[in-house]
Amino acid sequence: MKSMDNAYSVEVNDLTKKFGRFVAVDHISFYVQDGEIFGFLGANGAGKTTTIRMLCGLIRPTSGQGRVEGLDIFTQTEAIKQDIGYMSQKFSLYDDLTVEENLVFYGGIYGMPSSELSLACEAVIQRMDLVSQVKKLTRSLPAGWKQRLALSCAILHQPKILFLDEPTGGVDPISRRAFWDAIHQLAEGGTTIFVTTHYMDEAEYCNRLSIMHEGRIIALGSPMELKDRYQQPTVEQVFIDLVKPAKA
Amino acid sequence: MKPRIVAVLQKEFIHIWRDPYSLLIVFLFPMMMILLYGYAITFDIKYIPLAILDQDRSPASQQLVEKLTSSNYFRITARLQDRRAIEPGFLHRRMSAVLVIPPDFDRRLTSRPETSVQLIMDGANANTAMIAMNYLKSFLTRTTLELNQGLLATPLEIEPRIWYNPDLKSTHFVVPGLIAILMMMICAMLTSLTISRERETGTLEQIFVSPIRPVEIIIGKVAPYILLAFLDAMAILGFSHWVFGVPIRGSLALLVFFMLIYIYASLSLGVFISSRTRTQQAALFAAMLGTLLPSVLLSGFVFPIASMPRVLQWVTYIVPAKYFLIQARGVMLKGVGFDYLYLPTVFLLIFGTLLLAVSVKRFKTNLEG
Amino acid sequence: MRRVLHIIRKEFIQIRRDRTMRALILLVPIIQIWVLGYVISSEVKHVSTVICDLDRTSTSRALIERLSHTVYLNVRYHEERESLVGEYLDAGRAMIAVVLPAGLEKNLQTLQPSRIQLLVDGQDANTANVALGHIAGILEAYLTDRVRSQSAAALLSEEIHLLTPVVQVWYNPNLKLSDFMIPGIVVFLLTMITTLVSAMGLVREREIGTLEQLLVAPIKKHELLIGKIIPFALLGLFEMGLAIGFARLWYHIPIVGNLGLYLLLSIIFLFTTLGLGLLVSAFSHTQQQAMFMSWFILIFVLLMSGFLFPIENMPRLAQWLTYLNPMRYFILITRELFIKGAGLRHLYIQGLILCLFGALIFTFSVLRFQKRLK
Repeated sequence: MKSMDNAYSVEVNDLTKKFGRFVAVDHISFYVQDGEIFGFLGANGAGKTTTIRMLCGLIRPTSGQGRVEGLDIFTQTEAIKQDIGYMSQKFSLYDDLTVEENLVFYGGIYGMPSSELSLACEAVIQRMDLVSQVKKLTRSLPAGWKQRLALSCAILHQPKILFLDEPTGGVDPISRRAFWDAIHQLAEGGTTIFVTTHYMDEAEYCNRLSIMHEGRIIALGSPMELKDRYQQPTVEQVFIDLVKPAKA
Repeated sequence: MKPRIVAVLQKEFIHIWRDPYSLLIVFLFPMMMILLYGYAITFDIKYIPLAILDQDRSPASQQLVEKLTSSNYFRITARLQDRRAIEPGFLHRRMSAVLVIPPDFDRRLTSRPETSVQLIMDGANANTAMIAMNYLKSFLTRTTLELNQGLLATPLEIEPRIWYNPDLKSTHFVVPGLIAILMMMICAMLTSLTISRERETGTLEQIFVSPIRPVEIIIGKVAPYILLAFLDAMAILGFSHWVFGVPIRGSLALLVFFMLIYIYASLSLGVFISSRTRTQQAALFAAMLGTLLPSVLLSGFVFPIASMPRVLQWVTYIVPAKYFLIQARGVMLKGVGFDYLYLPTVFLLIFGTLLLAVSVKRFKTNLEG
Repeated sequence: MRRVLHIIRKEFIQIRRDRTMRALILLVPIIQIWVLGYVISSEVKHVSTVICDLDRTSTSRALIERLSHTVYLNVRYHEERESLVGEYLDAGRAMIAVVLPAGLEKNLQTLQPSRIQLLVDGQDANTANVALGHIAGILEAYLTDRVRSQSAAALLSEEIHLLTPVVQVWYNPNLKLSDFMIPGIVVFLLTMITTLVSAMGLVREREIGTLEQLLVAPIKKHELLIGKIIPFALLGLFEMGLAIGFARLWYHIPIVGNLGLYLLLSIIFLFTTLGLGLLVSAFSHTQQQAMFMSWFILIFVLLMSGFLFPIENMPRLAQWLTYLNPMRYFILITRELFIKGAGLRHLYIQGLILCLFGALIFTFSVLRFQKRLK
């Protein structure tokens, strides 16, 4: 199924999504390399979430082409799902299940056999430092812990690529820093990270960035390249510079 | 003071308008029910399937059968040859009753003082069986009297005069009940839901940090539902009146007055429920158990209160719908005036005021604490 | 299969954790059977009656005696002036007024026809009908007894010939209405609970966002739906067992037929109700919507099932419509099996129709469910 020696985790060409007459994503093209942290930067409503949802097979694109781990996003959505992890801004957890039960459940629906599942849970609990929280009801956790748990659920089945849709919303700066440390570790382990955000400091952590505005990608490159190209000291300045004239 | 209430009012109207789903149900549901009751549902039992086991096969037995089926109480669905056919016949639901005419029926009828025919009933459906049995018995008594004309007493004729609903139409009975239930649903259920929704989403807190007074909030939140309930009641009245001829014999103004009192009582119940519940789901369950079910089951809507066991009869005294039903039926079907119907009014006023007093007190502390 | 088991387990943990849910599971069936049992299956009784006796003879007193000594009527008032009896109806104090005319006894003795006037509050058509029937029956019985005693002497002369009924009631000899209605309540309970929980179950996950998380997992659509539905089916069967047990203990309803067969047919029936719930959830965005829509559908399913109102008397068109109502078949199955002990060979047609409905509704709802977001 997977095409030979493909160095790209995600490849997208002219991808478009329309909701009625509204064009949410407008002919975007980009690629994401294996093992890189790829950031999607944009204001609310720029089309970031729609793009992620198309790549994860949650919504069907209107036109264009796209491949995730070499699999077609039109026809092979179910096969893609085995290879990806997904975490949304809502931290989709069951409030009335404990930390451990949430992990076991999410591992379970990926079809992990029980021996493997308990090992994986153990490993992820250690890795994300959840040991003290294991038996607690998810409802009772502070947002920072919930975020960690949501990430744990998303990586339990060791996906090749992890989609994070504004993963740090509503979380304190210390938790955010810890979260990004975990992301870097994952990337070093070879997992491709695809993350959307509107926090400019987080954008600096990415290997490469694409800036999205009104459904289109208006800039793409490493944070360094972008700052150089637009001669600005920070990504934030680049962003504001790019978006302002577009709005006017 | 005015603009603040207006703001709450406006917002509440928008909520109602944006939820066409609930709106549709509130208006469509009673109309469908009226249609159903008007066209489909009847209580009278006719054409009961009857099997004949005629062991005599004489002119006399045939005459008896003919006479029996000339009424439309029965229709003959099987002619059995044998008693053994009765059980499978019942189990396959080919008939609900069997008339067994004995072998020497003809001869006995003219030579013996007493002749019996046997009725075998499928008692599973107690209602149908009871009616079939009564009818068959009275049929045989009448036949006896005819056989002995001039020798035995003539039947006691019953001359029923049916008041208020001479055609015994169930729509006439059900429409006031539907109005009572719908008004209760809108006033108690929807209001308690909107209040608890605001509490859950935190918007109630937001409103409370503004300088608005609790009374203003309650009025602002509640007024749109009063209007909605009122419109709905009028729609039901109009529809049932013009399409199904449900009468309004008394004064419409009096009916409207009773509606207002009933709305007041139901709203108080709604506010009371929302002051006691913290989540939408809890409010929903409380509203179902506390308002909807009693209004359907214990108000006399379709199930007569007099036939209930004593304990349940006591419970009906705290069901507001029961009182409104007495009033609505009194005005619509009986055409009686206020002098007959003031007592329920007094009760509803006391009921509403008590609940409101308790919940407003509770409402404040709830928000402060 | 392993994935399905994980979903089932999660569902049960959630039910166990939810305190209100736990209470509801245990209380709802019992309270419902208890209250509905009394409300729905109570025969028309204690109808408030006023009697106006214009005859004042031993005959009229004997009749009044008979009318007073029946559970069907509650003779609460005696009024002397005929012109005032209507007042009792207007004020809602009595539902029936019986006027025994002057000359009643004399007419009976001289074999002249006599008329008994009844004034009936016809608002509640059903009660009015039933009460009228009972009064007619009481008068009929009085007359029959009178004829018997009157003719006792004449019988010997062979001039008089009596035609008398010998009545045998099978299956439910005391004609207890509760034996007929309570199995219906059990069916209603099962239908209601399973439709509601399955309608709200998926919508709830959509509302809190976990559905999205399930949709990005490589789980098959049918695995997800089966995993969600099996716990609801088990819950429904548990509730049914509880309801039947309670009904048996409290109301002593008969259970003549084979309960194993009943379980099998119930499971078939559950596919239609659970499928219906799934279908509702596909069209709803919030739990409240799902609940309203379910109730809306349930009420019609209920009224058109023969549970409360006999189908045979509906107009033809309405009768045809009831053929589309799965509950109609299951109500019939339940009553026939409980009261009469009907077996598979009497009920297989209904069983097959339910299979067909179940397969159709369930397949349709699975097809309708999209593993994508709207």
